Amino acid sequence: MSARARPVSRRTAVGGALAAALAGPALAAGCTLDPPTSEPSPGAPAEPEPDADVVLLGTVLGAIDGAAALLAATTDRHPRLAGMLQPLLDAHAAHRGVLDGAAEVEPDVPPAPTVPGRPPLALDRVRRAETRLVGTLREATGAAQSGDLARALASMAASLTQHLTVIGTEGPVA
Amino acid sequence: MSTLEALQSTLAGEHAALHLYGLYGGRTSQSADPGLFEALQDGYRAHRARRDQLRLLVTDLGAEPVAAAAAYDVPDGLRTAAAVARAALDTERACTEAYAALVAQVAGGRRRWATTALIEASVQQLALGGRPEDFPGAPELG
Repeated sequence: MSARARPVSRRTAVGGALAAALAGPALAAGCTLDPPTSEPSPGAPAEPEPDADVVLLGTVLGAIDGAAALLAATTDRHPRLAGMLQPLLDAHAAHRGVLDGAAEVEPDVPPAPTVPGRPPLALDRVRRAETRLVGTLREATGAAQSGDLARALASMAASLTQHLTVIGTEGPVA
Repeated sequence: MSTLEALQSTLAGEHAALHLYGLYGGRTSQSADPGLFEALQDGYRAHRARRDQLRLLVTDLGAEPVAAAAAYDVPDGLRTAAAVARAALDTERACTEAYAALVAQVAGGRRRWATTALIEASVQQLALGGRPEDFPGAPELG
């Protein structure tokens, strides 16, 4: 999926809400680790190449928008699924909100999704779309030049996996 | 923080998590709380596997893996199954944050492995009573 990415500075590319929020992740007892630093260190990933991460963000935003469009269309056609799917829509909005602040990228508008007429099939299509989005986020995590961006993308993949797990344990949809 | 330091810090966290999971399992009745007992067993196995993998990753860098501490701080009030589940969830959240931080500090295959660990720890939270979050391991983004 392509995206129109405007050349932006390093600060803009991985800046805004993402960079501000990444300034101080919480620490907890057990499994503690110092927060990621913006200072380069020996052995750590190299300093980001802004253009590469901006293009990556465009791809991720496009994928999120596509999945969100399917979710919205599904809840429109099958209101009974809305309660189950609304948390996923909220998660997409939260993820987009963070990435919106990180780069001036204009992802392509996703095509209008088609929604199966039977709720179980519609839900299955949502599950498969979300699973593909998790894969996209994981690939982007591996490709990100910025460690901070990678951390945010990995967390988003984990969030969607949590939601998919919960949806998978809920009862069958007639 | 270097790659080696990040791996060693995460390994130290896994040593702590393993110790705590063993403690939680010892305070949980398999017959009275089978669901929690199974979740703790699954968690213990997962943390043990990650500890072993982290040891290998450290050794691959030519360093000596950090050893477990002689003792760890233990949460108070582990007298009920609900209290044990809450403490285990706290431990799992701490590990999720550690792996999210590790993702930022490493690259390539190590980052892919850390991402898998982050996702697995996030899902394990659900078995301990947690709910889906917008940013597991990176709550300040929410």
